[in-house]
Amino acid sequence: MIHIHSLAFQYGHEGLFKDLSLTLTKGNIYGLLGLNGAGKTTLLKLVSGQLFAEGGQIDSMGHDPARRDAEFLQKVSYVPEEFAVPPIQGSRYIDLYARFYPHFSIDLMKRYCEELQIDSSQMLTKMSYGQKKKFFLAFALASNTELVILDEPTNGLDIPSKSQFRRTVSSAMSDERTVIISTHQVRDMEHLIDPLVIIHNQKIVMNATLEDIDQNLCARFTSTPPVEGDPLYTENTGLGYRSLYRSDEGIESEGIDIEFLFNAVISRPEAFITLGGTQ
Amino acid sequence: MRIFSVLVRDLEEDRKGLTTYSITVVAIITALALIQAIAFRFTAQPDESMYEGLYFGFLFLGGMIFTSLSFSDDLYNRIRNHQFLMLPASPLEKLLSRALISAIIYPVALTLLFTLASLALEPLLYLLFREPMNLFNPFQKNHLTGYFNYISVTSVFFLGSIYFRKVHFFKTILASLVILFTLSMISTLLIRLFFFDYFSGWELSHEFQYSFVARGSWPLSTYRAIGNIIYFILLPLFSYTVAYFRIQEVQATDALQ
Repeated sequence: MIHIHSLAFQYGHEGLFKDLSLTLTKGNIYGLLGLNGAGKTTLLKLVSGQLFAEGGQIDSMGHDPARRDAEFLQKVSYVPEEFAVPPIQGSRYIDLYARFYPHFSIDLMKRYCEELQIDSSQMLTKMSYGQKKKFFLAFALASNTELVILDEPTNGLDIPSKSQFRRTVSSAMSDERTVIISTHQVRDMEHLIDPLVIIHNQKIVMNATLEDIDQNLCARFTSTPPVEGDPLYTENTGLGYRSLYRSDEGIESEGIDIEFLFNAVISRPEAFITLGGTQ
Repeated sequence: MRIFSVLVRDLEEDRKGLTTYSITVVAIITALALIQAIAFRFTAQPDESMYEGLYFGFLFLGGMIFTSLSFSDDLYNRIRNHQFLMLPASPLEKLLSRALISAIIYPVALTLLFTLASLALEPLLYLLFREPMNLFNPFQKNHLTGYFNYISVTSVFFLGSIYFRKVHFFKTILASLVILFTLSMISTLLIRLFFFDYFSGWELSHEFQYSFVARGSWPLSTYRAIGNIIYFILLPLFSYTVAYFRIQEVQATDALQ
């Protein structure tokens, strides 16, 4: 689906990626995680052809994204974190833009608008930030594109909309489709994103499914600093200590949440190299 | 065809701005025609050039400013350029849509606007002020020449709208002046070198005037033909071709520092 090999990219003289490689396969909802400035949005823009790599190769669904062919762009829906809207009604926007996507489904669009409680007869400029985000999310999913890229999709959504967002994205998935969600709101994405891709210090430090993670790692909560085993990472939660171990240490696991795992991975990336990371 | 979808999308999204511009044009035509009709009551001399002057003013000055803004938001607005880059159409289709709006739709719409405005206003002014009707005639020969000039001139501003990130109109004018000044310097030097016999210092002799200008001899007519080819054909071709290559190079604006 997407193959990135030895990617190099920099802003001015500041290197962002150097020799970054990553493969994303179809049928998954990838969670792209990283600290502020790690390059998540830049990576998404490189994959979608909005930025050009300075070295290495990117193959997005058999296309070189930098060429920005219409045939490639028809396969990609991208909902950015910030967006400008034209001064037209939502329904007119659908008329104007749906014709560019050969597999666009107006029935799905109506369904998603109902689910996300959006009135498409409203002027886009009159919608709140969260409503606009839901409108573009509905449009992206109704386009039936092979690749859906969502950059911070839950920013600005109210609490009921966040759970509806998860249900809608899950229902829109198919074996032929790949969704990449870049986010800091990992708690909003629990039970949705799988596999996890973590970028840190110009590299992919983890690219693993939740199943791989469960098989290789386990977490334990103790009220005092851990004494047993050799934890990969320990976090003081204020109420006690949560530690992450390798599964082969024989520690009984209490489940790993994504936020804890993320903190562990970026604090000791070299310890997680077996989970799809690169050195 | 996809290019028509791009064209419809571009026109629809600019509809508010285009409507405001059209209303402004009609308001200015109405105001000037009214002032002229009132003035006629005192002077009894109709001004037959009002529509012509105004039309070419809007065609050239308005067209240059309008064309300069062709890509200002789509390419260089940090937030808006995402939508343009991700629109499923080729860079050529996106370019052609804007080129059609600038080179064909704008002058045609302006001509229609002037024709309809004069058709509506002139009978009314005749009834009110007895001013002889002076309808705008779009089928004059100078309109065709004006249109070809318009294409050449605005093609440069079209390139400027893609090439410059901000203040496209003024930067295009400044860049054009610098290029024209440089070219005039070079051509003066070349004339001085090739026709040194006709010069005394930097001054051209009367003999040159007689030999090449007054007599209409072949070098002058050839240079004029070459000049016309450069101005009417090569300049727009060059501008649109460079604009095409340039549009392919544009990236998400926040990547450029």
